[in-house]
Amino acid sequence: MLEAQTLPLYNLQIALRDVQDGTLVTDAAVYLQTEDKGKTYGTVSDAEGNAKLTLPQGNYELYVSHLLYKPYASPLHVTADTLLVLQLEKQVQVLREVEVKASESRGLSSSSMISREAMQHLQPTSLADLMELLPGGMAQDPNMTSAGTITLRETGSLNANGAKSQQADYATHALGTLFLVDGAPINTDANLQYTPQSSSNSTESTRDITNKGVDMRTISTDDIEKVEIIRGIPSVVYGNLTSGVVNITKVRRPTKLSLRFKADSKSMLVSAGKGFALDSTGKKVLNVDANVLNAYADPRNTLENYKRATFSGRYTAQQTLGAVWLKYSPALNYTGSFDNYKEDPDLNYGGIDTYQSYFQNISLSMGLQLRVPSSTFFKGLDINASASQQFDRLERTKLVSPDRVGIAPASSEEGEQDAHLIFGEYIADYVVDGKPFSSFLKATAHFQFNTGILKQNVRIGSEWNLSKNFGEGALYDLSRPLSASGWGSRPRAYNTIPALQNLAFYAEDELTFHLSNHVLEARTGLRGTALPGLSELYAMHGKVYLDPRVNLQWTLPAFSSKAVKVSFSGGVGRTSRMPTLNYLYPDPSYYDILQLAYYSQNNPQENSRYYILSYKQDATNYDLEPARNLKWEVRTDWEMMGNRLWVCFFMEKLSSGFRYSNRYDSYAFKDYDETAISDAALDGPPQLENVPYTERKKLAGYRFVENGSRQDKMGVEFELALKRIRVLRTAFTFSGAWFRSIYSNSRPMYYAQSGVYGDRVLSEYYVGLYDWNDGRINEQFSTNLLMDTQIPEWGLIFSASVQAMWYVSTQRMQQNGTPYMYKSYLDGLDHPYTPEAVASDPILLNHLYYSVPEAAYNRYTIPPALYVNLKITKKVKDMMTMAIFVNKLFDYTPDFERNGILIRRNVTPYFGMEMTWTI
Amino acid sequence: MKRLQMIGWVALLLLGIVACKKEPIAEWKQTGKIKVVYPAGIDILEITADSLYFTNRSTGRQAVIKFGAAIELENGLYDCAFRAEADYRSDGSVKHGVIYGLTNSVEILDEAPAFTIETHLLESKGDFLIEEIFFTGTLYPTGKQYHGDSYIKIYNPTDRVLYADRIAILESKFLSTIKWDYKPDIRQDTMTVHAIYVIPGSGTDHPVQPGESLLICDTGIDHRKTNANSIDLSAADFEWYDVSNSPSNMDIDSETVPNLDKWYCYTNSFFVLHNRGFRSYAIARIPDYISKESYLNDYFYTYTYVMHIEAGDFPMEQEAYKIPNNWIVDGVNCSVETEWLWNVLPPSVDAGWTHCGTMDHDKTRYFKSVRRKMTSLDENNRRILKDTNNSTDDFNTECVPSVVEEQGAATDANGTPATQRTYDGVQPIPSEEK
Repeated sequence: MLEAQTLPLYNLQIALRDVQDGTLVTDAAVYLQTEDKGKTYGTVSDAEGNAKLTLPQGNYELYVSHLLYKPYASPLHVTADTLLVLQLEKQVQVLREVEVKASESRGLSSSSMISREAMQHLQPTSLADLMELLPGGMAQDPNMTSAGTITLRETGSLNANGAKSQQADYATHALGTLFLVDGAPINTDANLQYTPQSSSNSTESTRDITNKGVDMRTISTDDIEKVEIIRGIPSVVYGNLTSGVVNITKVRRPTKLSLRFKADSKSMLVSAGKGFALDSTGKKVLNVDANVLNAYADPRNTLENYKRATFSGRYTAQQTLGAVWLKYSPALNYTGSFDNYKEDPDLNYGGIDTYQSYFQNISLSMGLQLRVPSSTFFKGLDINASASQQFDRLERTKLVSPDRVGIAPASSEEGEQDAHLIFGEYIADYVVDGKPFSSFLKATAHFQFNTGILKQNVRIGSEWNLSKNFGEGALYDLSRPLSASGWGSRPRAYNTIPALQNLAFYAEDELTFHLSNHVLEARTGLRGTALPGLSELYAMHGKVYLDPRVNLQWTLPAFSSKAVKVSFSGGVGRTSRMPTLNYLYPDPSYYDILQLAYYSQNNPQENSRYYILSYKQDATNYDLEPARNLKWEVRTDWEMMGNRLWVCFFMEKLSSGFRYSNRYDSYAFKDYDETAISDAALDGPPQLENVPYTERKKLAGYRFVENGSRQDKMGVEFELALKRIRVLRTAFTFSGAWFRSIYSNSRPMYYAQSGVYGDRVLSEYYVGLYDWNDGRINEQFSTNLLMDTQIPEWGLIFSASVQAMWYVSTQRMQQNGTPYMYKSYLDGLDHPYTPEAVASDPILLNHLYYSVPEAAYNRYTIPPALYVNLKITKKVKDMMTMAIFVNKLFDYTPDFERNGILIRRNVTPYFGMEMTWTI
Repeated sequence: MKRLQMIGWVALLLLGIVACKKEPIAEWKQTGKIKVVYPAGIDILEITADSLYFTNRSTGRQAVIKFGAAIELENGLYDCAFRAEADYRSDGSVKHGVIYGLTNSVEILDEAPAFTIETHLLESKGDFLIEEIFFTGTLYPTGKQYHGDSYIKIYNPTDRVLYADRIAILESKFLSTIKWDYKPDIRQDTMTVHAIYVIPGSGTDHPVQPGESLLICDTGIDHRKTNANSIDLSAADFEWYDVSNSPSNMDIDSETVPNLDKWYCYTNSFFVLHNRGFRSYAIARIPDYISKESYLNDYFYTYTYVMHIEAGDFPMEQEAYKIPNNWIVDGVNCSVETEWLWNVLPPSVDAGWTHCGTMDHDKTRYFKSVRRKMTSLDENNRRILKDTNNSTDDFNTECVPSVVEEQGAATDANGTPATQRTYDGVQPIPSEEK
């Protein structure tokens, strides 16, 4: 005893690595026994695969033991501080089982963790494919030629027949899902890549992602270590969101060179990645990944395709400086995303219509983690920073064939002016040049207090985001517009739009309270967000929006005999999404009125005159507020002998979602009498001095951003994960979700009734303002029975899932068709819709009543649909893994009748395969 | 194949009795369970040469069966027409004419067929005929659709001058490809319209000589200045023009072509003929005592129907204008084979239908019109056009439009010029007459 104390003490660090792929070996038991076997020092390797011991000088026998690795034993002589790297060999017959599904967090808010192994078994093309693993998720055929937005805990908007329909009015939750890559957000606020035709169902609209958040197609999965999808109430560390968080952590560890080649019915993907260990301890690592994808809407049509290329270089360095542990993790990322569409010249008289939309993004990010494990108060600091420059280009070439002689605006100015005449077809070239730039800085400090039975972790921090678009905007020749009837917009330089800044502060206390084996955890946080630098014209100027969030969890003591663990959790919180650049600074609307339309029969090109009055309408809504959601959830989690059941009920209320609504105003103009012009007398376009006119007014509409969308979510999620049955080597998991989503307007809406009475067009005279619900209530219930069989000694994983959509239903909300106000062309003002008012112009005003047939309120239900999907992963020797998947291999989708009409459903299997070499 | 035997001895007996007496005979007659109802408002004195004309809808095979004889037909779906010569008393005098009726889609199965044919008097109204409808329009050289060069031609088939004043050009609101159970069903007496353009004038402003036509077009300009494949309509007689102050859907007012008087049109942009040809067209002579204002007031009606779709039964209410059938001087049903469901105009106006193209969005339909057949030339070398109130028989389909022939304009998107001139789209005009 005395002798030992006098011997000098040395630090021994043992870095444990897998001999094959260099992965860190965690949780290995490491112990050293003195020669005389009198004393044993032991520890367990940490998350970095390091085992650290302090022990006196001497000769030892070192033992390393791990379930998956062959035991290691060797003598060790400790005479100084020693660093040792040990390569452990796997026990061939005992290979690790892998999680092929998303694993549900046991933490305070409900979230799904998707591991690299689960991704490898799933064989994704992009992040969008991972959504299958969420509760209620179904395998979807990858659709790489239209934008993929996220729908968390919601049905998504449906049409009257229960089919998915993309509606820009209900995209706030997609916009309000925060995507983080290694701590830095993917900022899409400055995305302005749209064309005037984006609003209709066109080549452009299916790919338009403006105001819809992140396009998941553009994110490759090969360099991802894990993805955490927070569905519940996120910590206040995460902000500028309404719905949830997709938190992507990239691979940052030494790995062998991995080459992956994937092909499925519509795409091909090649990727390569390696993690270089820059020193022997694996403390300095450089990860490099590259990925190329080529996808088609239809493999027979090469003219419509999507290409993606990504490159990522990530450096990670860890260092211990005295009591401070530091991790430094800069990264350089490149993503190129290219959408192409071309018309087949052989089918279209040499048609030249093309569509190309691409972006190239270069981002530089930096992460700094500082930990002070020994400190009793200040535990650490996290700093994240990033800067990202994107180069967006949308190029559209289109052959425009006017219905007859057409006219086009001549300038972007307001006021009276002559229009361009268009004789014959022309080729319109339309370019949208966007250069969104974003930068981000976030710092979080961690503190810890321990007061008796209370343990408190406190996080305080601040986040700053900047979005700016340096692009030149829409570039086109005004006299050659994309559509001959495409008035309403004019070119706008994006670099004239101010920058958008988002500043947030947050503080959170995570409290753990142990009381006679009960554990009570509470996380309480407050986040404040403001938009500094916003003009004082805006209602949001100078305001701080507060998001309080609370999560609680009560874990009961384990019932000893059966090892039952039970916990109850719940939470409530507010989440806010700030408007995007486009919502704050929308394009002005142009409204043009034809005052004189004179077509010269003798000399149309020279003597015709079309005289326009242009109004430029500022569409900015200075009263715009953030979209604010109130979320709450309750959850219970039961574990017994390796089986687990959890059930979660959630509800979200959002009635301030962003949307473009229609506003109307009265516009005055001169109506010239063209019959006063005589063609024979003309020598050039007619002069207006002697042409008589009458002064008139008419109503016209323009788009206006509002907090006018209601997007409520409610539902139940559950999962029953049974322990693997050893004999069958199979684990059964039954999960599912029931969602009820409401999509509607939340504010009174102007609605222009179509109708011509006599020679009066109703909407030019009066437009009703309706306080109605123009929306639908959608429901769906889906389950997934997953059976995964793993035979590690054969390197085989086989999973079959039976995915069932038990029903999808949609119902139109009751709609009151009587306007409560109406806008009159005479004064441009709203008037109460009273019998007296109607009497002033009964023919037109009576027609403002909007009649909805009773049957429109019928609930439309789609009966069950069942699909069986197979996925197989097989390791061939040590170097190669092969995998195949077949989705919808079998299906049960019976025909059904609705209102006496037979509806048949056709299902086509979707399959693919891939090979991965690990060298 | 199944043999049917039916003997209409009751009807024959009845006919025999009334034929001797020259007294009004019954208002209907029957063979087996097929009932023929005579036109209302006239007294039929004698019926001769009465036959049933069966047309198999899937094979097109026709069978003419003397009324009352045994009917031997393959099982299937048929259109059945009745035609007979009749002596009748009307307005106090005895006249001779043809009565005609048609019932579409009757099923002939093993049992005796049971249906009713409503008949009407086939009489030449001595007024204008629709000679040609060019509703499909032309294509740009790139194959894209062009609008504005469609037209309707009306012809004076009589031997006297006709005045076109107050002739209305009508497009039906209903489509031949969509059929609901519209209530009230006013189809037998009126036409439900959504476009009414009327030739202006006080009664004698627009004389049309015998054998001459009026060209009434969409936009009366030289369309070749915009689309090389189009035609020059700057010399047309009338155009329909819609005042619009919206630059994105403006119409063009030609100075050289007078405008029709627009009484009503459903659209708030510009009116074009249904270029897939699903609507019916008619011309009507508006009585002198009807003003535009009184028409718009008195001939507006509301109809309802139940839209039966998978999402439910939707009771619909719609408003439209109606034109009494007795104002109509000629009407033509249009449709395409794959989409046809019904004839919008009743058999008293048009017992058949004509077409350009055979299916929806048929790309071959452009540059083609429907033209009324010429039966012969008369002693003055004027065309005698076929008019049996059945456009299936009366019209040549998918013809080169007459204006295209006259101007040697393009007959397809490639600009292939028309080289031949015809009387009716089929019969060539001998070269010395050109």
